[in-house]
Amino acid sequence: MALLVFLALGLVEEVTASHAGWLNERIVSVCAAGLVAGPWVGLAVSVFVTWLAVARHGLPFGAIAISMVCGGFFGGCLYRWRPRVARQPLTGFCLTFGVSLLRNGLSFFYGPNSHPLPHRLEEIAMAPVLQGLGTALILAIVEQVRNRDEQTRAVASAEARALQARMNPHFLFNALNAVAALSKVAPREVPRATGLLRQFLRASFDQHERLLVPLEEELAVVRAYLDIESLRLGDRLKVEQTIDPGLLKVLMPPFSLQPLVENAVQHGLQSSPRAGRLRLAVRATGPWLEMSVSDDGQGLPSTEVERVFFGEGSRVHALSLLRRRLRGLFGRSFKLEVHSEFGQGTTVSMCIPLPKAFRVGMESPRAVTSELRELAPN
Amino acid sequence: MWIRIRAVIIEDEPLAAQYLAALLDDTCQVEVVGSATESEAGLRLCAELRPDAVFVDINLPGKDGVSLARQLAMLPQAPRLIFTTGNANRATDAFRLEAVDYLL
Repeated sequence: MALLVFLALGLVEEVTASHAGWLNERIVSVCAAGLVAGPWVGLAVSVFVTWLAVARHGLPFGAIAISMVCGGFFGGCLYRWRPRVARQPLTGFCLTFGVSLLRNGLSFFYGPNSHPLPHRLEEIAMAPVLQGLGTALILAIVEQVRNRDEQTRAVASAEARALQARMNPHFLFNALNAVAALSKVAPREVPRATGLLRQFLRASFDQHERLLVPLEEELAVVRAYLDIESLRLGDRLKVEQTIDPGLLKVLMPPFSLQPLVENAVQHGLQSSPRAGRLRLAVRATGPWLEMSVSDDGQGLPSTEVERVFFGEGSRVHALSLLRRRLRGLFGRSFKLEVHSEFGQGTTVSMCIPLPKAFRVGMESPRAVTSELRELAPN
Repeated sequence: MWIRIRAVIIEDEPLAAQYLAALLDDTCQVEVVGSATESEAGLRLCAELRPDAVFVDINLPGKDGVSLARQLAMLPQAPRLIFTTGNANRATDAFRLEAVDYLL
């Protein structure tokens, strides 16, 4: 990309017909190419503009080739070894000034030239300054664009961090209560319970370090969470999961499936004494990785869904935070939907883009259904 | 001679119910005569067993502990109420219903 831009800049010389030599875009393009895109781009552009100058305008090969290659190469070396120096507009000015002087000096030395002497002196003095300013201007613009990019990225990453799923304090409170109860009722279960809690906390603390994790890691977090809740809820919590084993390596945001499961446990199970069945499904649906969590709780009237889950009240719902986080990561290419009917339970489904390598054709998904409790390590 | 308090536990979480029963048993003064995991069954059990005290989880699924307490108070031989939960915000509701105590 950078190569094309600077080759095009080299061509500007051709179309603008500023042949007096005061403003030589060739030198500017060569120096800027080296400083902004490295020695190889610098050299490629210098070869190209040398060819243009020699073949089209009959300028002396030696003078042009030496000065252009020097400009591209030194610029590139600065880019490679002293990137901070290479970014400064002043560096661009000095390099171009030097290369321009070199070119003029060599031309003077080599060239049979028909111009009268005063004009040449003026040219030798003025051209390097103007060309130096040209390169400085390009570097200043590039620097500004780069700064703006960095700022945007910093803001986006700070925002992503602020939107990370926060651990629900009630969950920790309940888990510690469960451990206290186990120590009285079934002390032999305490090491396993604290181990599960440790696994969950570790994953929760580490979620800031990575933007994406493999599905299998997120499932391990979900499993630890469900096992902890099972300590407390016992037989009241039954989990069915249908997961395509071919998708375990797909990358997804950490703590994005867990809030859906926590929501189903908290709101689904608490709403009705008969409730307690939770279905977790992960499958490939065309270009999407679709994850859905259903509960058989009381549900909500469908008109209330938007207000309850995504309303901007004093307490922001975990799903609302998740929606904002997904928007930051995937723009518009994701779905987070809640289907609920009063008396029919609630299903929350989330779709994120699925990399091509994981998509399946028309064949039926290789799904494996199992009871979660059987999978949990003992 | 010791007077043993006959108590019923109404709690949807089995572990919490077992824990409370074990703690009460340690006191040697309370005998847990029955337990239920939801309001309707709890109300029937109390009408039948006529316990001295009822330990009610305030966050029962379905009909919650506070409305259950109102119905318990209307029983012919109303038991003393003790609420159990992790949520301190609801303690005021509980005392309005003349709960004896509130275990956090």
